[in-house]
Amino acid sequence: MAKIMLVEDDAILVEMYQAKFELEGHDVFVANNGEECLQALDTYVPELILLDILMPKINGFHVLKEIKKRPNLRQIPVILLTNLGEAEVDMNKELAQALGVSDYLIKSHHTPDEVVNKVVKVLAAK
Amino acid sequence: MSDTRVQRKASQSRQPASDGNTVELENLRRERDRLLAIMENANNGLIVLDTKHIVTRTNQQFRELNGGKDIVGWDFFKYLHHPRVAPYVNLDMEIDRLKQRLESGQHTTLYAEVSHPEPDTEMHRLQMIVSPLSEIEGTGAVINLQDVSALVEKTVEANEMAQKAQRHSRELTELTELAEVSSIYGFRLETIFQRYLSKISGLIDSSLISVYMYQPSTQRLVVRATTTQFNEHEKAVSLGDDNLPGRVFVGKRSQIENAETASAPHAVAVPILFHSKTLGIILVTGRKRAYDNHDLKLMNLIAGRLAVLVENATLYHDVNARRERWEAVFRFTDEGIVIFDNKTKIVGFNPASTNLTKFAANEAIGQQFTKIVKTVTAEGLSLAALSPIKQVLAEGKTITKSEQLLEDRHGGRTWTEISYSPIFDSAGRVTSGIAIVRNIQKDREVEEVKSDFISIVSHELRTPLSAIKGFLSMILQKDFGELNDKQFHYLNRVYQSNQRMIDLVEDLLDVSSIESGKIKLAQNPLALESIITEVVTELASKGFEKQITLKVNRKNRLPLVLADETRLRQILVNLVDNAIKYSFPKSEVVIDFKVQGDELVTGISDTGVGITASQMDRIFQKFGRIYNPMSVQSGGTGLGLYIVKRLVESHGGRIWVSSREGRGSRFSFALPIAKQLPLLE
Repeated sequence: MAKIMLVEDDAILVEMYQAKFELEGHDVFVANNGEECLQALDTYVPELILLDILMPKINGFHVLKEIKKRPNLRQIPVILLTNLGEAEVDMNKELAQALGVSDYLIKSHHTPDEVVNKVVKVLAAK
Repeated sequence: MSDTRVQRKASQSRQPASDGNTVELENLRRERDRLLAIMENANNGLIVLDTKHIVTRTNQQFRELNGGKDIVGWDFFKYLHHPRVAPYVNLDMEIDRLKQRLESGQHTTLYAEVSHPEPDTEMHRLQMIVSPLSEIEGTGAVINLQDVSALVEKTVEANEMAQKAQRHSRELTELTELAEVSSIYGFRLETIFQRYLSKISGLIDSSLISVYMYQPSTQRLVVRATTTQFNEHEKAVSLGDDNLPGRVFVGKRSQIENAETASAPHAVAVPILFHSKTLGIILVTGRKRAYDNHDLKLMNLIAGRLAVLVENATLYHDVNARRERWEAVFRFTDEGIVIFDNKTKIVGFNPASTNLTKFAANEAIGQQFTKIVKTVTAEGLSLAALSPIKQVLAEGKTITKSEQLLEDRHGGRTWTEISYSPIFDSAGRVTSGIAIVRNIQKDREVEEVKSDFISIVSHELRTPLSAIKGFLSMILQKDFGELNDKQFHYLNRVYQSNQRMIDLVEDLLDVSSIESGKIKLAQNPLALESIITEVVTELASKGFEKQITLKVNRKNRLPLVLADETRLRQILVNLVDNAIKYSFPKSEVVIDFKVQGDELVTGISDTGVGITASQMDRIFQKFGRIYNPMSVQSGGTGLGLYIVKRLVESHGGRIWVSSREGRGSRFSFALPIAKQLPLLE
């Protein structure tokens, strides 16, 4: 069992990922946007963060920068879980690595099962 | 009678003479006989008249001229008036006037034409010199007659020759003048025709002249210029055999048609021939005299000159019209047209070029091409060094539609599409070049808006699609409990359909990023072998259902290609997946390789439905999907091959297909081989 923070603004997707992770026996803390995420991180330290990019107010990249600024959070693995394609954000594996991101997953490409497996893999590698 | 008179004179002078005068008398008689003999034998005819114009003596020569008849005793003038004489003697002077002149003591030289009542006798032309002889008593006049027939004939001949020569020289002058018509009237055909009509009228002495020209649209000869005013010539004639112009045009030979009856006029027609091409004909009528070969020769000369003028004028008008058309294009087109010489200096610059560069034509001409048509990178760095115009000039290469950011003289930037082309002379040497600059700023902007729209829509589509996919996958994995068979089966169908929608969104996103130029390739030297193995392994299960075998034909190690790994995999997956879809069951899909120059060609062949000729054209187009009888649900988006083609091309490669309907297809694509670093050699 792991403590996972899910940063996602779409309520249905939140429900879906939360259901799957809890089914697999993980503890999910949900933040509905970037602001909520950064606030929660003041008191709650997860083992892994699943981070959406396109969110109102503070977007995922901004959140990522903030996390990397905080020494107590810097080591937490972050998996970008988004629906922005590589072309839209110029995102690729190298850039993700440079940003200190563990993986980059496109929601429509992966089933929740596959996302859980990735998370488990990343946590195991830690 | 005359003898007695002379004798009387002699006796009168003898009376006072003594015996000593007998000798003198004898001498005088001899003298008289001698004179008479001279008169009698003279070459000219002689008539002696007394003071009352009575003929007192004639000589042998006269009597011969007069048909052997003597006229002694006749009044000379009454004789000439006599009804049996007058019709045969034609004097060039009134008889009474001659008489008057004689009586007033004047010498007269006149001419007479004398014929004989008998048929078939020659007419004589006589010269008559009538001389009054007042100092000899009793003698009025001597008339000296000389047959000048031969002389007159010669003179007439000489006169005719002189006239002919004069006519020829006049004709020559006129023809020379015609030759100058073109320099005077330039290429104004109507004026040239009018000038020719009036010259022909003078030269051929005919009043009715028409120039007919061939009109291809009606296949008739149509009058282009005429001197006729009352439709004496038909306005248009067919090329048939039933009319003179038609016959002359078709036969290409001039023709005289002289009238046999009074009602039909004489006519001559000549073709206007340029080399062996007949342009038209000239028809001449309206002369009382029949036409002869001389007229024909003249007309042929004239028609020959006219042909050259007509041909020149036609050429001139053609060239002029063409030039005007091109000038209009040059002036009014929206595309900048810049012409440069073989030293890359600008020699032509149209108004649209001024709009794009903000340089006026007179500022641009003479300048270096790259100074005026400035292409830059997005960061503003000059691309002058990379301008392809030197290549165009040196290699005669054509470069089409290269997208360039153009910077005007004030630093303003416009996206343009520039095509370069060499201009060759007749010997095939490059003399200059032309650049066509099209403003695609608006196209780019529209394209950007379109691609932004697509990416936003795609993103918005992805979210609900992900939710459907995620929940379904969980249900199908029985995360929420058991499903009965039907539930499982149909939910699977929903899952597949959803997946198709996701694929379509992915393809649309690919198309939008390719078309907007946002796609970024990380091209590295890659080994095809491992990628092929991965693709084949991934797709083997798809072929398995239809018992299709995937076979990789590779003998040697393949050279590395310069490619983006993700995109190369995408290309291969697409092509192999397509091959499986369109294959007959229990067949083989073969992948093979071939090194061609500095390219590696990969071929994917299937045995299947193939592609018809009509489908071939649109197979690489967007939504150019073809009907697949092998599967009701083809599962494609119609974008796959388009994306593949664009991806191959953005690698600097090529893709092509060959196929036989009902037999199968072979898709081939060539990618550049990664050049080995010199250190590794």
